Amino acid sequence: MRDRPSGAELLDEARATLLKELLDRLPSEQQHRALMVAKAIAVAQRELAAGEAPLRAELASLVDYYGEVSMNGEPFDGLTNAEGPRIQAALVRLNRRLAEDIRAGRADGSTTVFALLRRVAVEKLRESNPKLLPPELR
Amino acid sequence: MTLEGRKEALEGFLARASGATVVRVVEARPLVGGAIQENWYLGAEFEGPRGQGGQELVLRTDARSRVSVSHGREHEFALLRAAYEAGVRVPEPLWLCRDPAVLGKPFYLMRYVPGTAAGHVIVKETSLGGDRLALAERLGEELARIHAIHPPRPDLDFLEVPESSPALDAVARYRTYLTGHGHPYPALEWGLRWCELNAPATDGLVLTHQDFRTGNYLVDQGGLTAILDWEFCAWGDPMSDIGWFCAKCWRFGRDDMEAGGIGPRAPFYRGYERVSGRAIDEVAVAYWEVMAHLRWAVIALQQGARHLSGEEPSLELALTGRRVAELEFEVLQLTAPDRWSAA
Repeated sequence: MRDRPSGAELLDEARATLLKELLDRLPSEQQHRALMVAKAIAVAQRELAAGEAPLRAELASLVDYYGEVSMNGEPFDGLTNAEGPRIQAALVRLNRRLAEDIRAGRADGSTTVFALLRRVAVEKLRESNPKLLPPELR
Repeated sequence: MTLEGRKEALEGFLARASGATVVRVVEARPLVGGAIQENWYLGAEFEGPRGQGGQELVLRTDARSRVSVSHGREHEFALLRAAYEAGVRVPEPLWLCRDPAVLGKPFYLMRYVPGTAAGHVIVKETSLGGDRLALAERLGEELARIHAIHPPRPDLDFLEVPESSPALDAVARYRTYLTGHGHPYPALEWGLRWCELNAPATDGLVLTHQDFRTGNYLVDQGGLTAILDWEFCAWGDPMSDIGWFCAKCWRFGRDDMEAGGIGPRAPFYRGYERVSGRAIDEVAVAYWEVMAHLRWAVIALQQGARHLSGEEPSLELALTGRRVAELEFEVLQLTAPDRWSAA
């Protein structure tokens, strides 16, 4: 059992303290760096909040596109419930295949591939800088 | 620091280069530079046969890290000279020193020009830069003057001539980088493939600045005071500089001000067309705006990699590495399936 405040709550409070209490007290050169610290915390918070769900969704899309059923003998179904490094390895492998296909001209103008790429880009942007998402996607 | 213990050597060089009898450096302070260059403001007193007086100078040399795509100080000096002689508004280039005995590395002096360059400040503080429509038009004019420089130029013979078209050269370069990176970026590959298929014909190679954007020119309350950062120049497609200047990723949040976040396209284009005598090809500009986002994405990956490898641990580089997502999103917006011709 973990105690509260949770890691996420601590990050929240740390970021708020930086912005509300410390920022105005810093010389202007350091203010820029403090804003970067706040930004880094915000990205980390959003990434932690999103967890593995976007990665599993990405894997499911790629598996769907390629009609693959296994990696190293393990069914992809099993992988979509697994965590961390194994999902990452599968994503790298399938994204590499997709990158090669696109470069070689095997996906020119494909609406399926475009939709897949866009979904992933939106989820990444949701973590790295959601203000840049069009209003309808936020 | 570069100048520590070197005051006498520097004063000696300044005297020899300028023809003065005595030079005294009375002030030296670091200026904000990139990771690649080191810039110093120098206040110097010159005494000589033609009298005496103070001058405000900028000394520019290499910082710790060099990237191979940026020119060394000697080549940059040659580019600055060429631009100055072509009537581009740049700080007057004064003296180049190749002798390692002075500062341990090549450096050059140029006249100090006051002003603000910071992109996010200029875009936000509309009191800077004078009338914004006039500024946009002026920037177009200056770019046209840069593009009036074309090969062959013996003084610029260090510039590579692109093997194929500048567009296809860029596609190949970014693909090579992505291959070496290790991690796949299919969204960027999508944009690069589109660029490969839609590469425009180049009207004729010209000197392109290759980083002509808000953030790389100085303004004061009245207007433009200097175009900066001549380290990436290349023979290229003139529309590539227009595309870089107008790319959405370089508007510092003012997406509605399509010309560099400071004004609409029309005055920028007008100034360019009037001075260059060349019509702006809007299809080509749209192409180069796609390429701009791909180029910036590769740069962001490179900067992230510098942090991750431990070569240069830096929060700024680390955060830049995470900007790839917004660039991928924009690339995809600009290259949706309906923008691909039916096979």
